[in-house]
Amino acid sequence: MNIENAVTVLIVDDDPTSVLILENLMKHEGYKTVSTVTGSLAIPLAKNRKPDLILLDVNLPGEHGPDICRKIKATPQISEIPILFLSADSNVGSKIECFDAGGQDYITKPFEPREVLARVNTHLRLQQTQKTLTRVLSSKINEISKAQQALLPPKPSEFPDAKFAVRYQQLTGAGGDFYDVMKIGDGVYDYITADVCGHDHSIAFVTAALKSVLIQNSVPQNTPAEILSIANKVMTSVLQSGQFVSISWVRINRVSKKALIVNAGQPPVVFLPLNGHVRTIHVSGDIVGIFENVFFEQREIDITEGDRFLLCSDGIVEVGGKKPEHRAAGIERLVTLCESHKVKNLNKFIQSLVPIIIGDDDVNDDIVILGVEI
Amino acid sequence: MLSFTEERTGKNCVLAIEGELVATTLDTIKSKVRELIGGGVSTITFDMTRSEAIDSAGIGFIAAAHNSLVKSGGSLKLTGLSKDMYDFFVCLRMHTHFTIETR
Repeated sequence: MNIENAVTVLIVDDDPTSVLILENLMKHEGYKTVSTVTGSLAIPLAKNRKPDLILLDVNLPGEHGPDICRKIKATPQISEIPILFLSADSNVGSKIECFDAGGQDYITKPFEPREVLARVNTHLRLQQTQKTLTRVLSSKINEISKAQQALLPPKPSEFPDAKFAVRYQQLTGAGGDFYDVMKIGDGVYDYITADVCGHDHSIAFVTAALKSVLIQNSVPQNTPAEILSIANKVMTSVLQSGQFVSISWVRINRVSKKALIVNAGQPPVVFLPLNGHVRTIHVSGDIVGIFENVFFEQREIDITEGDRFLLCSDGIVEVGGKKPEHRAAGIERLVTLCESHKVKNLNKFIQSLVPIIIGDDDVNDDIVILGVEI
Repeated sequence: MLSFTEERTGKNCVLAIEGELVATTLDTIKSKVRELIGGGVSTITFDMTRSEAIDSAGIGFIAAAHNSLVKSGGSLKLTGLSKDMYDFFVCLRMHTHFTIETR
């Protein structure tokens, strides 16, 4: 359709009688017409009037219909317009030449008006259907694109008042570890690190599904424990047997000066008070997505300006090995390091921790370490 | 490396595991558990006395074995856990889903 929302048909025929008949036929159908008896005007008129369909005579003085058709099909802004050829020549060679040139149909003269209308209407419907499909597809692609953007982890510069810094290294590029920071209200943010068990490329889809659930349910009226319970219900039906998700969650309310901590199988959150010793905060919680009945303990602590929290994934604390004592030693080492390695700038602090912890060891797991400052 | 011995008494089976329960070692024991459940075993005990390392895939395997056994009306039990391993399983609240015992 053109901008006036009415169908416009361009008629190009050197025979004025044919033009008149076709104009009347189209007008009776409620279509607008633009006509010319000069072949060389076909393309300028098509560009200018953007018709919905072109009826094009094959044998025009000085111009050959199939040549005009080729030029139209090679012109981007008018290439999609269906072209129906009109010709007194009924031989197969002429028809094939017109179809090869990009024509959609071929009507032989003398034409039967009802047949012309039927063919015109068929091609207009096809054109309209194609446009609708393209529009729907574009709209879906836009939706997917927007969803993907929403699922990308935020950068600290995007939420300056969230005051966080992150070090994020993925083993596969489609992997299981991720972090997120979500604004819940004025002065209230959720900080999350999570690990979807496994490292193959299907994990990316699971991760996207999980992030969608978390984003949709992270509202002030839902506590982190309640959101994890909802996520558990969804993920038990999504994950394969033996797969699960571990999640560490801190909700910081900078107005009430409270932090709510939940942990579902991740290393304990490390608390770095401005005045006081660094310590881990142990809260009990089931891993997510493998058991039907789950429980997540929530611990609330008082916070003051300058306090920091550190959330990290297994990769940080299991550098020494996969034995539970290696993990315990890794957590202890992290606490000691946080105590001794006090750096004023949060980002510099987070970035400097990882090389010290990892050292020259080969990294065989994703690394996420998220620092938050009050 | 992971190996295990099997001691079966009626519908009960004890699998004594030796080695690491990690992503790269799980295939054989997964098949064994499937075979046991398919063969009518309803209670499986993993004796972990000689297994001291586990990763997330190992945890997932144990939880999935528990789920399969519960579905078929049975149960899972872990015995011979080191103190550290026991504490780790408690931290993950595994003890609320099936029985775990230290050495």
